[in-house]
Amino acid sequence: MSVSKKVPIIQVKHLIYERNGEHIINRFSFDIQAGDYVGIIGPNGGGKTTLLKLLLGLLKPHHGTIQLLGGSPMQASVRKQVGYVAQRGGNIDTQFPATVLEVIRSGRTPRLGLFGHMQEKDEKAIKHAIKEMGIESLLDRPLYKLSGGERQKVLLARALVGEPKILFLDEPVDGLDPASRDDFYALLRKLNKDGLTIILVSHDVHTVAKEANAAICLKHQLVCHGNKACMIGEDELKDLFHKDRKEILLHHDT
Amino acid sequence: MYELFALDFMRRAFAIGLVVAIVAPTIGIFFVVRRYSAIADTLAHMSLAGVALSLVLNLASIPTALFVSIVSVLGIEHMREKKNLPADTIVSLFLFGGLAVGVVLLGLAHGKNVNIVNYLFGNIVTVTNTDIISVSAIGACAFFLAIVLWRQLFAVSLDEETAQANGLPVRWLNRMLAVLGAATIAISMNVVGVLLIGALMVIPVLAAMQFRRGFQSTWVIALVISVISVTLGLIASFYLNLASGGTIVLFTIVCFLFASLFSGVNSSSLHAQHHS
Repeated sequence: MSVSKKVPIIQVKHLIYERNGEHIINRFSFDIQAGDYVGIIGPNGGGKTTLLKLLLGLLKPHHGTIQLLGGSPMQASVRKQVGYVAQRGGNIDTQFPATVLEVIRSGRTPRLGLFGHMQEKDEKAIKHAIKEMGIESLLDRPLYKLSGGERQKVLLARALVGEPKILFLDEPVDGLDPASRDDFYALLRKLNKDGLTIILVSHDVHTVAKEANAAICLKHQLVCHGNKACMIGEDELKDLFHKDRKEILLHHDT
Repeated sequence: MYELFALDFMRRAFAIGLVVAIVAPTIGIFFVVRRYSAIADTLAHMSLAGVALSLVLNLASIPTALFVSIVSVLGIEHMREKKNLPADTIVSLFLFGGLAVGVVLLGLAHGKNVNIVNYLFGNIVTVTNTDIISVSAIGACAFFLAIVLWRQLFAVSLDEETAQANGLPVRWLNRMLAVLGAATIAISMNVVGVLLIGALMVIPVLAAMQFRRGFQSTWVIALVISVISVTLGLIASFYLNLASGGTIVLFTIVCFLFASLFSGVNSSSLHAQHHS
């Protein structure tokens, strides 16, 4: 999972994405280095999730290019090297009949190929992810019996069993209590320390300022990009949220 | 009971019934967990159009029904991917379209001594040896493919967006599942009839889901319920002179009711234990 630092792992050039004639993403260009922990921040409806889906290859840009791990995010070989944790458990039906272990194992499926079967190295990766998330006691539990925090840990474990080089997360702690949030962010910090590149979408300026080491601030336009210091500047915050810096940070503290 | 198996037509009925009992929930579980079970009815109506076409053109009914269902289901999937119309609208369009084509073609085949009731409600005792060969061959292929693609179909059914983001060929897998659904419908026609086909794919799975287990366990329970329902349904329909399709489906509903009751008792006793 470890990668050498300071190699551009994501390169975005002149990216444009429109919906119903409106520019959701307007001429974005930026690089992300391997090993970075990047927060994508902006107000609701500002284009954060759209940018994430473009980077994941789930949406096709109208103009511009995205290079992910040296290839297009539309390529299956590239996609197999990324992990994804969607907002509030993603699109998984809460009544879906599956155990925690079945959900986690499904994260390894793309690596197996269409007709492949689990081998020893696959089982090892699964065991490792379970141990890293500390969810050994949950494995036989049905999905619907999990708390919000447990569910997000399970989905993080599912993303990790694919041994990704980049981990994308879309507001992963939305709806969780403060203790579960702290727990989840501690896991992300550890993964980043081990060399995993993390791209975290959030509307919480305070958390990104605390957790990430770089930021992309957007509101249809790229407001700022780079060192996270840019994000907590007075002008940038006012551009993003139409509020004073003090008011925003105070709001997120409470 | 032995007299049942002394009769040729009942042996054939059991053979074809058990094939369908195994294949229907194996494919049906993926439709149920994706809340896409309405497509089974649509495919059933397209199969009716296929049967009607086979009667007009003097072709074998099951392969023709299979062909028409596959073409239709690929059309549905294509329109669903385009996202120009809501999924339920597309399904309704094909459902009524299939029925309309079926009725018109059956009208054209009127002079050919056609008993439409057999196709609508199923008549397992009219099964021929040729039907058994078609059903076994198509059923074995569908079952084998579902087992081989089990992990992939599970991942896509659980979370289509993440599966796509991680590089699974989601479009191809969705189409493959749709084709497997069409195959299941085509082989189930003689057993439960066009109007009740969806029931055999859906109700055993819904009954199994009442136990709130994992995916594999739910599938195994659904298989057991399906095999029991088909077996008891055939025995009851023989001795009580009842329509086989309806009787089988009634047994699946009885299983569903028992499962709801049993799983309810189970969870409340667990709840009581938890609080004691």
